[in-house]
Amino acid sequence: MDREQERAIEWECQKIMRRYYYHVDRREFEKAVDLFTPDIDWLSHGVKLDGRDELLKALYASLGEGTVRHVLTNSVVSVTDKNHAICRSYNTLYYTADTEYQEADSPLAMEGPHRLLDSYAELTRTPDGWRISKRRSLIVFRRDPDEPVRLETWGESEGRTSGHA
Amino acid sequence: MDRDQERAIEWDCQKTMRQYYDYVDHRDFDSAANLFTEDIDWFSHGVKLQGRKELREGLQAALGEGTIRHVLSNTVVNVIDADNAELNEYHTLYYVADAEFENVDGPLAFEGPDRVIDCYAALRRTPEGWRIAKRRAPIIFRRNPDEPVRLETWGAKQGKIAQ
Repeated sequence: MDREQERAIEWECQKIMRRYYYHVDRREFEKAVDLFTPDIDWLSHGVKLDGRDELLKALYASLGEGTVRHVLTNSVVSVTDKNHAICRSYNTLYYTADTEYQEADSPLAMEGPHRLLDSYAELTRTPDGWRISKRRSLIVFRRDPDEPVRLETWGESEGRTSGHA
Repeated sequence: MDRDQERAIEWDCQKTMRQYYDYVDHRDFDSAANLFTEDIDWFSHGVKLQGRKELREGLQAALGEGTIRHVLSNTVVNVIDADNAELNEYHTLYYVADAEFENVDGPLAFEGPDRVIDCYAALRRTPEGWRIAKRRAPIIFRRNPDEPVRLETWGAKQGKIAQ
């Protein structure tokens, strides 16, 4: 593969990652889930999910209320071959659990980022375009380490907690 | 040079910078140092370093302990010619001096960024790809201005502080 083909894959994979966060941050969860392969292997905040149906349930449970913005930066895409790539990024999250931005009259108060995550994703080329087939994210910095967010509470109640958050 | 060629250079130089911070933030200092030219001219936090060997020592001393994430944004690459480019961006640094993320059970507590830095880099095309030939990084905002970080303490001890 020449460098031009590699660059095109790097661009497409970054775009999928950005589009995913565009949809989840606006609660367009069905569109967000369509950017994953049907057998998506997902682990974040210590919660393990397999497949699109489980992921969709978790997105509704964790982000159906409150307001979040995932600020995605530092993306480095490593092309494995013409059908596979790996993307590493940082995710700086701004978050409030108890207010929905679209129902507020003014901006939501904040004191800075809520958490910073190392994000890892494997992407696969499919007939529908590039899709995320595996996702891992680790929280490196966190404002209130002892206050669980909704995803963690939901994961615990569903018995889906597994490993380092 | 046409715009397509320029865009390809812009993309590759951004990738080199991001790859560098992916390596340093995860303590892969040898891979990080290999993204600089042999004669790298490096100046950050008042510390002046020349060449890969000095830089490798500086990285180990500054970032061998603690945990840091350099969040890169606002990147603009100016292509000078087919083999030279300049890059400007902002770095928002999240940092703790006294704990290594990989050795703790869970996230590290934080209250926000530790520093915001204006980053300048000159990049040169080499047979191995685009490499950083010069780097400057003045600190614009800083949470605790009177508390030196490890790079500054090390640089002072080694006599590498410059104006």
